[in-house]
Amino acid sequence: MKSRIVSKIVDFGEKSDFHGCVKNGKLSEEPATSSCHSAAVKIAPRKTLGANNSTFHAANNISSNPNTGGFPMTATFQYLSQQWRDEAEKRLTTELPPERMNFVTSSMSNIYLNCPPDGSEKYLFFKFVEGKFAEMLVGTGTPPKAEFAIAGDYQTFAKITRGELSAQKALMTLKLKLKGNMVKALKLASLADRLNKVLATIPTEY
Amino acid sequence: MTHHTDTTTKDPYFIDFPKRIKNIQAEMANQGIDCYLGSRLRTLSWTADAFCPWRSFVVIPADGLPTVFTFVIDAARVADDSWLGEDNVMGFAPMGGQDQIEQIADFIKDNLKNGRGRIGVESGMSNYLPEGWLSHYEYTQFQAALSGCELVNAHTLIDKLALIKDQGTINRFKEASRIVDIGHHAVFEAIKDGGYKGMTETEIAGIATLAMRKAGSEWEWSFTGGNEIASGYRTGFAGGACTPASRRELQPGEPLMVDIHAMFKLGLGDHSHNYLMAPVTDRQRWHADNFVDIVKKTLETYRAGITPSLIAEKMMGFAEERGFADYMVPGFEHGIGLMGDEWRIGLNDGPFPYWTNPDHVYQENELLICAMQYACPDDNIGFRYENPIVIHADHCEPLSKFPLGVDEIR
Repeated sequence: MKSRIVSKIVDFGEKSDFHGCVKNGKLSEEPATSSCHSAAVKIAPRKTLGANNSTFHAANNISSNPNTGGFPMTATFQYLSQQWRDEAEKRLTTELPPERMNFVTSSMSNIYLNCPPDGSEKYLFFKFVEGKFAEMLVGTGTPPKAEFAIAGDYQTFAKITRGELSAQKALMTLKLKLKGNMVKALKLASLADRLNKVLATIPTEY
Repeated sequence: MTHHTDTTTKDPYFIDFPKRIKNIQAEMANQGIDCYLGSRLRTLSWTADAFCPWRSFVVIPADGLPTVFTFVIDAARVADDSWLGEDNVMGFAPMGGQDQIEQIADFIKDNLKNGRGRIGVESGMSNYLPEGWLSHYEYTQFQAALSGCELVNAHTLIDKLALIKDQGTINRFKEASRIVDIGHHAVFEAIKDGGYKGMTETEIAGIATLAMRKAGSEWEWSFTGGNEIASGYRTGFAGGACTPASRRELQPGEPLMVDIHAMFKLGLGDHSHNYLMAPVTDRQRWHADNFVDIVKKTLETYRAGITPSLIAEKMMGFAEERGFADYMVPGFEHGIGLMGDEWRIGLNDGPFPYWTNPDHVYQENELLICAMQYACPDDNIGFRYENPIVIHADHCEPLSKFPLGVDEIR
């Protein structure tokens, strides 16, 4: 399934008088009450729409857009493909410097069950060392040992990435299972959120 | 930042927890237990050195450090208080893979060869409500989550090892008792010279609490209402020995019972002192003297080698001789240990399961509460004595030093 969200109201924060709307990847100024869409996404005031603070998803075949943090949006990437991984690494390295990651050292494996088209199991492994993005792997089978492992259905992760389901709700309704120290996980929750937000900016085909 | 107990032997309250865990693991090996799942509050206090007010568990593997599992809202605090670090204190929550059954079962399986083995659990009963036995529901859930494992009741393993107290534990009780004595002094200062007039039992409880907290008490730990205060007829309930403070106002001519509790590093202070508000009748004084005499005699009698039934026999004989046996509750002790351990003496080896074995033979460095209740409902009067005592070869050592007596308050 291709990402279908093509427009969202964006709010430039309390200090900004600008309200805009992303339509087919283009940012246009519109009042917040316009018919453009209902979901509001707060981003930093007076800044170009950056990949790290937007949750919109680009549609297929969108040309390069200054509102995507400088990343060309000329193509979509198949979720969890090698190309998607490379794009993710590029964006994470650029968008999440060590200070944005609180200089954390940790690792996490997302385990995707029932992946299309054959129902196989895949994983996405991240590692940060002192806040520096150190490793990212996608693969099938047993994931590398990580401090945290989150397992769930492929479609659940896709819904989370598309902003249709919060990770917290997925955990609380048993759609996702977390393995690892919950107390540490709580400390890292905001960092995981930052990371997911960056990944969410990748034009993705699920 | 953690603020763990000083782990040097210079600390008078030092307890060698790693050694304690190794002793448990040696006994587990003797009994063919591959992993121990503790759920009692006493087991948590005794192994983790942290107060766990929420439902908690401790998993002790065949070797290595134990891991505590508690409600996530309190896990970081428990890790800070415990000698165990944050890697060995896990929080559970109603989230996928993080509920207590799945989280603990996964952890246990990861610690077993091929995920199979014998798991020691704690199943039993107690009059002490917050004991923490594994509930039937928890048992069935763990059994289902640990397929291929055998759950065996193993709490005696911990009970045996916890019976004789080390010096660090005794010192914690001594400090808690010193704090209790400060609470008693504060109460005395407040009620003397007519100060008691207009005061209620709850106010007395609060006066003691404030003084003890100022002196460092962590809380009035007893589940019987914190500090137990009784006045007038409430001191003399037939066979009674539990009086959460009420809003009753203190009155001249009545008895007052002040049973207060302090906690220091999970060591427990528990001492009861008694008063008579003037004017005091001869009958009241007679009851009071009986009570003081039997307390003295009991304290003189406790020593290693004696049993609860022998103590009761001797003391009830004395009460009979003196003509006040009708007013004595025929029990002279209750168990005590680090927080959560406040029920029977010794092991579960008596004629009535999970009650004190009347033939338990006291050994040196056992700790118990010397406890007795005198009650004459017809005269609306009663007295209580409680004091932690350490058993020595030829005597016992009362830890609270507040002078024994029934003081008259003008």
